[in-house]
Amino acid sequence: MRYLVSFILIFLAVATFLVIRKWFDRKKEKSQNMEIVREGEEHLGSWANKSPGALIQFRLHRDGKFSYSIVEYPKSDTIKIKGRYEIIGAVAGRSANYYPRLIAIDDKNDTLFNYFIAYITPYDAHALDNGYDKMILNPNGIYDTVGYTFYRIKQN
Amino acid sequence: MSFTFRAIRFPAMNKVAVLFIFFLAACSSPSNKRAVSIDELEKVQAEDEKELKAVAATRDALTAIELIELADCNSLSCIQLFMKDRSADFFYAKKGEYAAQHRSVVMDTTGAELVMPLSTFFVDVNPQASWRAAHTLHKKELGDKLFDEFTQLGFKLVDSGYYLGIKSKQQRYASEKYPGKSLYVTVTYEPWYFKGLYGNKVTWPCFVFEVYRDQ
Repeated sequence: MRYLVSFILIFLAVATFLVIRKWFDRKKEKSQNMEIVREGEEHLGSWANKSPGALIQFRLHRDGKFSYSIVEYPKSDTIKIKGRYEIIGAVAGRSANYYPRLIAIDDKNDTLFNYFIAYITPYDAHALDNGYDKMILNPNGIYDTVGYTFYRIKQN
Repeated sequence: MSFTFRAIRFPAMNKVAVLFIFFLAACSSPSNKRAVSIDELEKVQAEDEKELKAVAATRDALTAIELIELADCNSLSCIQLFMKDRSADFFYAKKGEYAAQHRSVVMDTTGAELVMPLSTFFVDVNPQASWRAAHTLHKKELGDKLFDEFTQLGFKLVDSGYYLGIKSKQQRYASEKYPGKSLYVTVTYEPWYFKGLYGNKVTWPCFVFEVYRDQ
């Protein structure tokens, strides 16, 4: 009985902590216009890749909104597109090579992204990827060894 | 009001403060801390790419310039020497057969997904065979890209015909910038007769590029 009470108390303490943490997270997200990333939602937030030709940035919002911007060099013209995104899991009858996929569409329903998520730095990883979160998107599937690498960028 | 924590006595307010600090520490997100600023992005990417470059393949196919240079080879040892510097991207499968290190999904005509290198570079090493060195790409996008490279180098259509002993008709291209060299291009399901990857029935379109010195 004593152990059961201890177990329930620990369970309640952890549950309370998680609820309060979530509440804090949402408050902070709202006030600072950013995503607080937790376990299992490493894809959220802002990502960027810079090449000699362009700076590509996109943001995966918690509510499913998708913001995309591209700055083309040397003109430095910025194109901004807004839309929605979804992370699609395995579909019956389709090869697992293709999933999970990040599919983003703009407001005119044109597809902006349709890529296999090959890699995301795991939550709480301290010794990986030189200390920076990385997301690799492959155009075809899991066996692609050429992918687009994006880095998590500071949102404030 | 006080409590004992490992023989150290804290007032109740201190307990709350300690708990609050623990809570704040637990509330911070490791992933949010692992973000890079836009100003640092280029530097971080460059470091990352440098590390990857040492171990990973970076491309799926040879370039047009490389194929033009390879046209000067008329022996396997010459090709081996040339490809040795490119061993991060192409591995030597067996005699006369190079394949891209990268593998990817190729959709065949029945819609089946095949996982394979996206390109090969094969040389005919049979003693009785006439010299043939062909770069075969397994995706239309890669084929188009390589063809664009040749176009930018000034290669223009000369004629077409059955030149090199394969069943498909080939288009011959030449460029004033590279006199004495011809590019032969074809799309076929029979890039080689029972050789390496093409030993069984080929069910995906192959984009074959061959560059030779004119006889």
